[in-house]
Amino acid sequence: MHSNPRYRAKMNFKGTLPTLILESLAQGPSHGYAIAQSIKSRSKGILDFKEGTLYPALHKLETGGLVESYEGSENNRPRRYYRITKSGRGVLVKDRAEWRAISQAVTVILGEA
Amino acid sequence: MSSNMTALDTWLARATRQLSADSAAQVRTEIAQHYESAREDALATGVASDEADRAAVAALGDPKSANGQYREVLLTRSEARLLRSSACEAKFFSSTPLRKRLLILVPAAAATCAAAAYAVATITAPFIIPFTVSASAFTTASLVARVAIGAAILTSIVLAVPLLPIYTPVRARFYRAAKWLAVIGLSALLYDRVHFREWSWLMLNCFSFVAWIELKRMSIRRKIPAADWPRHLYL
Repeated sequence: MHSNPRYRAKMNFKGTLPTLILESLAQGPSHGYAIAQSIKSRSKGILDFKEGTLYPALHKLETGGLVESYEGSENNRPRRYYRITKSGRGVLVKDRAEWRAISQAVTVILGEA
Repeated sequence: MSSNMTALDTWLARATRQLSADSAAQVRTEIAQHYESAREDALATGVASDEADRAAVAALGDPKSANGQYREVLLTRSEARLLRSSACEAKFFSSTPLRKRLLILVPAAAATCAAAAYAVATITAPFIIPFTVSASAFTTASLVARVAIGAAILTSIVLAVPLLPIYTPVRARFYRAAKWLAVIGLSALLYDRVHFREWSWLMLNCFSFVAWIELKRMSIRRKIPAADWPRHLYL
């Protein structure tokens, strides 16, 4: 078994990236780089991911109407900002509840072992 | 600096492979913005410029993997081409109200032809057959009736569409289901078991092309928000 926590985080990280993006945007509108840094810093570096994969996930959320984007600027440079929509918040609430249920179930099983 | 730009350019060239021009431009812009921020953050920690560039590109990850993910969510070249050609066809069919209405005449004419052929097959033929050398007139009229009714159904599905109120994803789904049911039903109507075996190669060729187009259109629908769908994408 791999003892490196980063490896273990990567094993199941892909499916949770959209939820983590929604969670990050629930704190306020942000651009791609800031979203990536927010996820990494809030997970204390455990949830490390390749930043090139962040944008496809953002596009998918945007197509699904869960986030919307707009042109903004930072340090006088144009940036594309993203903000969570009402339906995105609804999905986030559902995802949080699902994650808690799964997390509790896994904890129970692993606790038994 | 040029070698660092080359590293980013190489990454972008791989990540945008097969994407449409608009999609590729979008990816280049967002990744360039991301790269600049990552580079500035790295420089702020005191690392050398070259190292900051290298780290910023490395943080983006594998361009091939990113390309695969981009192709799942952004339009590819072939999808953009299909979208353009569909838009041209839709424009031709619905460019004027008169042309829209004239299109109804085609299925109406086919239906009339079917009715006439059916009449010949069921009413006239029994009287004619005893006096003719064979039953070929009856068989031919029956076949013409079947082909004509098939043509009427098919053309009404395709040509009467501009007049139908299909402008929501749910209605579009119903229409597409009805369209495919009609096409399958039509195939069953036109080909009996013997003819199906004989002409299956032709049907498979036709259907594989249609299925390929339909799969592309499904992929496009997934990639564009429903609110931004052009009218022809509903169909």
